[in-house]
Amino acid sequence: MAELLQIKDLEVSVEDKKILKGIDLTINKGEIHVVMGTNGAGKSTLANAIMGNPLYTVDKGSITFDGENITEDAVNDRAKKGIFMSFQNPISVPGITVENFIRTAKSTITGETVRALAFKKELKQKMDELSFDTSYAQRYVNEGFSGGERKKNEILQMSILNPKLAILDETDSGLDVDAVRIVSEGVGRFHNEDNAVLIITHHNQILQKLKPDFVHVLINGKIVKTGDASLVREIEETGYDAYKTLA
Amino acid sequence: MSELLFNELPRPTFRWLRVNHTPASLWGEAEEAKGVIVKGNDAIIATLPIGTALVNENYKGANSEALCQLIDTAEAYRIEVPAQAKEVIGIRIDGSARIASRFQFIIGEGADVEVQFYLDGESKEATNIQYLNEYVVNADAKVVVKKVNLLGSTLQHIEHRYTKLEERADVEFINVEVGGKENFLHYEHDLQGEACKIVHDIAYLGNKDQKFDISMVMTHRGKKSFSDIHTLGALSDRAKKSFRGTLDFLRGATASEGAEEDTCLLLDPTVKSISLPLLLCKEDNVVGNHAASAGQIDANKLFYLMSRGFSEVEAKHMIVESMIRPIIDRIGDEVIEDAALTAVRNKI
Repeated sequence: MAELLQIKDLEVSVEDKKILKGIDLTINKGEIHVVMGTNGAGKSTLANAIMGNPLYTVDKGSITFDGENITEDAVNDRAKKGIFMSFQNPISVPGITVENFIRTAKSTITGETVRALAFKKELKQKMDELSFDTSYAQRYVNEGFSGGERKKNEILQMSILNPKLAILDETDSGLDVDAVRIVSEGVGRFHNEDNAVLIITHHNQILQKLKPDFVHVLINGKIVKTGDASLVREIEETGYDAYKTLA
Repeated sequence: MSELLFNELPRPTFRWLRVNHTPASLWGEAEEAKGVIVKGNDAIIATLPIGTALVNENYKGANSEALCQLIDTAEAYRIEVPAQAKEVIGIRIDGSARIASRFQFIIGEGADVEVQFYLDGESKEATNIQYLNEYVVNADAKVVVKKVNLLGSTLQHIEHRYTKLEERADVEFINVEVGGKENFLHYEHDLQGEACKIVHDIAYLGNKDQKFDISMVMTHRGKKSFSDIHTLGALSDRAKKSFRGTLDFLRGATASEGAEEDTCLLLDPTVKSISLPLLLCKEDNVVGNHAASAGQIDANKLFYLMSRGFSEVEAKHMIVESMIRPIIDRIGDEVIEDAALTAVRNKI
């Protein structure tokens, strides 16, 4: 399978505090990767570093995406190259409707004019698939949305912007069982052999409708164990204690 | 006229803070004033004799001297809406020459009125656009006033506005302030009647050397009266904004509630934002809230927008527009909303 993302010896700090301490990770097209770990292990830092959040400083190592070194690239350039991040706490953008926001974002990322009628049709279809009330298309982005609606909006954006790599940062946190199932099904519909998904999670619920190819355990800024889907069950049963000594 | 003191704080604070008032002189006083266009039901619009006394003779406006001169010289209109009537009045102020006008609105009981102010145009020479609005809103009447200021950069813009609310009167004021070089806005709202309600929202956007000097006084006299002030905007270059907001609860205003909030986005380190929320209270059983915030663009918001492909500049534009847009969207007239939005986009 073609290599999509390669992270080599990545060290990242936030406000002079070292969070990631040498991460190596390769994601190929068509794969689903899961990163699990204790609170504060550095899972969200990994997501932010891949997306290029300027608040996170890369001290060492490199990030290569689709054969290109993107370690120094601006956030929007990474987005245009095909990286998408679903936020743990999506912000609200009052004054800009969901429809306008996603349409403008799609036009910006693809560099092509997005036809209004075709877009409306696609938006409605994707919203229906996510059981997302279509009247929300005319509401301001995330303004007055519940936690579940915000997460659905993230998955809606992902499915329309159609990135090569989708990073889901705790997308399942704070969601009820039904919402997790809808989000999980949405990710399942999005995933194909030409793209890849990196799921950062605490729980296994989001994985019920997805079959991860690789599961990584991140403890204290390091990936201490990589395995297949069975590792999720193992962690669920025994917790992280056995891995803490490996960090 | 020499230097005047505008928008004086009702209760002065320490002088060394230099925020008790704003000194300025009137621009283009010697010029002849041009008329304005008032559109609406002719049967309710009449000329008001020059020099007619104020609805509230104690009202001093942004500056008492400037206001007195205005009353003695300005063309004036009296718009009297009968009880239970429903009317829409449009006022167009063209800033291509000096303006001195006065509008007195008497809103009958149970009437439902919308007033639209649209200000645009630019004069070759620096001059002054000055007008007084007075609203007497009788019992159970509803008034919405939507103002869009897209004046040119040579203009000094002074608005004096006084409102008297009777029992259960319901007033909503919406300002979109984008134009004018030096803006003095003075609003005094007198909540006299029981259970009357007023909401005043102001969105502003300043750049270059633009100045927005806003004073708002909500005087609660009636029981269970309600007021809410919300000013929000963004400043870039060397623009300056001063907001003096006063909630004054007088004896007898039992179970009244007032709130004021001022939010300012600072886009450059050279801008200046002053916020002075003042709470005065002579009544025990009231609720008064105030909040003021001034800050730079939230880094997390910027990151979120850039992660959707927008460049840093595009994302900043989006943040500023998203701040002001909800107020523009309430204007309700597509042509005016588009004009306001275009003006906002051209400035950021």
